[in-house]
Amino acid sequence: MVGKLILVQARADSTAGSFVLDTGAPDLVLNPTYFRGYTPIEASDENQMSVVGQGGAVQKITIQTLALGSFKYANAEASLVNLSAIENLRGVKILGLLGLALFKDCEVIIDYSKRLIYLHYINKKEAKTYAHPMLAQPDRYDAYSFDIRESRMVLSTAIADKKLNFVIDCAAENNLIDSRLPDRVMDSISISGRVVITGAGTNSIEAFSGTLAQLSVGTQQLKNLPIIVTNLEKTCFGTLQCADGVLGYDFLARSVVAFNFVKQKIYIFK
Amino acid sequence: MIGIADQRGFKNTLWVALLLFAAVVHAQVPHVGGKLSIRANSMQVSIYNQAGVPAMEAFIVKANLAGLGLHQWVQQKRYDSLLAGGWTVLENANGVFTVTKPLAASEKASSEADRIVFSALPSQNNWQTMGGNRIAYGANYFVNQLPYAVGSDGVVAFFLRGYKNAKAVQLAGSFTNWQQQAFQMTRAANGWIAKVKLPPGPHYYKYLINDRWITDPDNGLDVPDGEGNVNSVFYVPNATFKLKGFDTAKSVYLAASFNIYAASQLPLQRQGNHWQTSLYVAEGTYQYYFWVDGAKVTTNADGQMQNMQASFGKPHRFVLNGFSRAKNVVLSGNFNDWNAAQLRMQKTAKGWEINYVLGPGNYQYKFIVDGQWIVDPQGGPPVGDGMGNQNSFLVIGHNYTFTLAGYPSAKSVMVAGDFNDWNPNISPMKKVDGKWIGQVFLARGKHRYKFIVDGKWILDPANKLWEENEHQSGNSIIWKE
Repeated sequence: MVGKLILVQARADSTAGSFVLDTGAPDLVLNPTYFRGYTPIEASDENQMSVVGQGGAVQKITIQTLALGSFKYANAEASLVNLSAIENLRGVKILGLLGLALFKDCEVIIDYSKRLIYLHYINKKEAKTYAHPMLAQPDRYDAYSFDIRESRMVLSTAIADKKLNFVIDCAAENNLIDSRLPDRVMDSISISGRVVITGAGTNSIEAFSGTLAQLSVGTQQLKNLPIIVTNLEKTCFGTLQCADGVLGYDFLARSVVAFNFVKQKIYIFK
Repeated sequence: MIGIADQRGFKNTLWVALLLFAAVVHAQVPHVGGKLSIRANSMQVSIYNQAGVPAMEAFIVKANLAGLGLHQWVQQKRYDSLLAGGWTVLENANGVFTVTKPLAASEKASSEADRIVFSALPSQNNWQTMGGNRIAYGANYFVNQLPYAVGSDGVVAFFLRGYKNAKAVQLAGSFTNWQQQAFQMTRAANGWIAKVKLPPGPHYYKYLINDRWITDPDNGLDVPDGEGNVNSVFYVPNATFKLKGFDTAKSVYLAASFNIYAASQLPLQRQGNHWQTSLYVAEGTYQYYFWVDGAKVTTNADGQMQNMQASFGKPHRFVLNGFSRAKNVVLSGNFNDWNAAQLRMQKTAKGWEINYVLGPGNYQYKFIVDGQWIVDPQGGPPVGDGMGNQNSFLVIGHNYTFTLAGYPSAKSVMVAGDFNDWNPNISPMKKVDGKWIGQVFLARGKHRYKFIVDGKWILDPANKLWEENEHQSGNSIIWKE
């Protein structure tokens, strides 16, 4: 890990190195610094459905092979996006992002304490039955259902009886909540201090950090979540209605977290 | 009945009065120095003046509000700093001073990279930039156990918790040429142990368990090697900072020029009659002070002054020959923010000199002879600072040579990048054997640069790695190991 980003070693054609495991990205993203010379397959005018907003045209290429451990993807389509801002902030060479679509038929278990990732392809026969042995004891974890909307993992929650949608993003280094929510939601957060957030470009903005007393997910209650309160006005979620916040590292990395993208379940170990 | 009612009414009135009095007393003597809240998309900071200066200071430091100008407002009724920072000052009442500021949205993000960098984590832990050189200090940070003990002989006791079923565990790192000379670890009660003698500084390592590499699960500091791998890092300390007294203090922090005087980053622990922390600090000269329960402290509890400057490493001798009639000669440079009084040189038989510790880096300096700023007559060719001034230029510990082939008729070739603050006048290249070469110091990690040929900025034609910049003209990239 670098900062709170999960780095995975992978190889795209002949170029091997670190990729960010990123459930916040819709698909495979490659850094053009290391992938020049490919012929663009299309100049897409479609909005890039990025969590951060609507980008411009995105150049796409096809790579012959993406190798991730024993996983191999043939003729993988990738978006070329300049990732130098991450490199410069974290001081690490980033070849690309491994986005959600790569794992749509998978179970992914992340053991943050042992720095291990277990990846399993779920075939159609085992779609309803498969579970890693680590998930054999339901009393060891809490399970939550999520939706996938426009290639985003969305968790329906409530704070102070206000219904809120949070995007689950394992590449988000902080949990975030929109400061424009009603005061009764803000009153559920014990504010502890001021922080400075690195924003788009060279922009930095002030925000407050604190602890959210309780987040309701269905009948379950998540208590004492570290969270950053910031204005998410310009960080809408593609063509989705703006989400109310993001659940990232501080939500997922308590010990072990598992995603079953076929059942659309997330398991957070106690 | 009436009398009883009156009596009850009197009692109720008395209780209400007592409760109000208690509430007023509570409001007048709050236990904490302030409170933070959010109202209508605005940050709101309330300072409780009557909690006392120590409580107020502690709150300001703990809440990361230092530097906003809250002290000046509460204590001196000056709020120009707050206004300049975009804060609105609300009317203060009952000793509660409140300021508010709308929470601004970030610039409109346009890519996945913008989403990921939207983070409150500081950039590249433990690194900061000064004069184009990255100055490192290292504070170990372990999550499930104390940092490894380091003996007075420099022996570090590495300990990997758990893995009882492993057949063999090895410790491999920068100090073992990685796997080639890896140490076999010994099975201990709750894990695996290896003792290794190491010099002060950062040491990169991993554990090799049954031929599988892992970073240290208890070490909170991971560092990329620039080649796609991530390693744990352990800092063997070379510096101990102590503060005597203050035995009833609840928290003591070190703030130094190497961590940009961050107020609550480097805690000291209580040991005997003093507070102490041990760190690795890279070569150089630094200023420092302490924060004790939120108050800035530059003396011991008995009032004895501390020497608030510390140097690590071998000094560089700056020499100025002649000027025997001068009364006062000072060394000044970007390494001390061009301070014109701090580094007074000593008179010698031949002229003037001073020893000053500088870490590897690219520096500019001048001498000040009785108030007159001059370049070093014995130094290399002076360089422009881009603002019409000429300074002497000094590279300590150069470790990288830029090369540009061709351009035989060019009159001037320079290299500029993040290592010299993109100054096009600092780092000249020389023509040697038909090529232009320039030597600089580069810290480990990624660097962006360009060549400037007779005033025209160009990418390095021999380097296929480049990235887009804000001018849409690109920057060449190198990763220094």
